[in-house]
Amino acid sequence: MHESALADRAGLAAGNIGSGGGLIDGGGRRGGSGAAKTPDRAYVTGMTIALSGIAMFFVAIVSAAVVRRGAPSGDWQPIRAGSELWQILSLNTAVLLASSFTLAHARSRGRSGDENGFRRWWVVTTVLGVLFLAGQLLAWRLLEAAGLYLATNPSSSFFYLATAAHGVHLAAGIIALLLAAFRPVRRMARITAMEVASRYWHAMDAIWIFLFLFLIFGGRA
Amino acid sequence: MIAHFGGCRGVAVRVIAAALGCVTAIAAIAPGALAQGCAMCYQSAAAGNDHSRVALQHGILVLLLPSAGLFVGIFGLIYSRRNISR
Repeated sequence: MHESALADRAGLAAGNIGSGGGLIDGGGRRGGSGAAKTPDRAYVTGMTIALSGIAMFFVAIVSAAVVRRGAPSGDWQPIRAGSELWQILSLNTAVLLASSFTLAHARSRGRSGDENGFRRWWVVTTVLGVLFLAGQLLAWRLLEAAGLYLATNPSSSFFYLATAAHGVHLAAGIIALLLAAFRPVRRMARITAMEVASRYWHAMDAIWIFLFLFLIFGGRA
Repeated sequence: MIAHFGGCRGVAVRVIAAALGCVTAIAAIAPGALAQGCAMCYQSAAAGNDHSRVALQHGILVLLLPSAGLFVGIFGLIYSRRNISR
């Protein structure tokens, strides 16, 4: 009881890092005796710090593209692969946004103890993530059909680099979602695994929107 | 915050804060801090036209703003958890 009260205090103090993150984990520990275990809250904090680094990786790519676009050589050519490319990218963005909503729904189901609802919405999120990756591959095929390859132009290089890097991160997110839902993670409460995975997923969503906006206003211009 | 600490600890915090303030002030007024000392950056910026200079400034801003935001965010996170033990 006393430990629970302390955990609640710790969770409230940590609540500034996101919506309810501290309240879910509450700084709680699994097991009560023996060697000190890593508090569940630490996993959420670790993921937040890791996401900062990942975000900066993509920001650095975009910053390099901004500078390269204005280079005196003037060889930055807008991506011209027809309107289908932008339609597919817009659809992919909608799919990824939808996956964030379904993930939030799955989390709320999981919190309320609805195991079936949680799994159902979690699987829907995973499927949407796979659909997004398939859509990105389709966008690559369209670029290829338009004769735009990695080394064709600085803008196409940026497009391939940014989408590939994001795709790899999202594929890791899909694996994390599957592990969090269907395989118990050692040394971590399941609700914490759920929280960490969903944080990562929402961050990938936000990073893609950032990249997509830059592709629209920077890559196409 | 400082009042929270007592004795030697409070003095140490004041000394560290004063030292950080001095370093920040020196860095702010030092020409070298404005990247004038980086020959490669200076040459590439000087060789470009107005358009490339604007692009360079935008690139720096794109890189600066998120990293500054992350610094403040992580600092705030650490500060908010300063009294939590495990």
